[in-house]
Amino acid sequence: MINLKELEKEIDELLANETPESLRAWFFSQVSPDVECYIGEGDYMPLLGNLEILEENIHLDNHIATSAECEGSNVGYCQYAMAA
Amino acid sequence: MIRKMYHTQEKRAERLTVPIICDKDNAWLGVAYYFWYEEDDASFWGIISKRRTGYFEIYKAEVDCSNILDTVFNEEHYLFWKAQINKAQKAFAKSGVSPSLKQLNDYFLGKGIWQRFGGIMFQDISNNPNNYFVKEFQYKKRIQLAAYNLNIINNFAYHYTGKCV
Repeated sequence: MINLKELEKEIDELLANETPESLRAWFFSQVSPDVECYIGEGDYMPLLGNLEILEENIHLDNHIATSAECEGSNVGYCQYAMAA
Repeated sequence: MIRKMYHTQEKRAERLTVPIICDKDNAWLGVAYYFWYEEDDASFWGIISKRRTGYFEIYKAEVDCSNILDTVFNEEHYLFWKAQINKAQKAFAKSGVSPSLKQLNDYFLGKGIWQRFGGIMFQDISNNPNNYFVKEFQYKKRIQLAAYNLNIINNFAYHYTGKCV
């Protein structure tokens, strides 16, 4: 039996201890090597500065990528509908 | 609860004795051992996605689902899942980045959170034309389990070989 309340508390603590820098660092550490072949290794700079996200603009985009979209790059907003 | 579930792979020279972990970019529930709830979904996946050798193999297993996050049949689990994914998505968005669902799951896995349970069961919609009784509407859920722990997989065994027609 999963203790959801305890798990949620852990998640809240985890996210509370993150900073914008630590989340960005984690995100860019996920960039796959084949993308780095195109853009090279180096430091990344956030594209957006003092960002204020409006609640209504935050959503999970469940875009189904076409094969053409997936060729050459696998970073960004592409979200596949299935896997295995 | 023990469920019989199905694992699809391309046909290889040697039969598998354990499932293969999926770490591809389309591993939408994160790096895990993926199983299908229904045999026909496992077969359809083999036909459309495991085509490299022209044949695919279906393996079956008995999966201990007593400690999984069941977002398909358990409403409380589904609402929990949705809330945590939204929460993480917002935190990343406020940092100026937009991880995919796969990356959010990998984040929780990397932080040791998702390891608190054996896996996540989730559903989407198949594009199997046989499931469209009414145009654009399917009567069936397509359900997958992403198992994060091999210990919940028992009696993993070869089931049959199919041809990628």
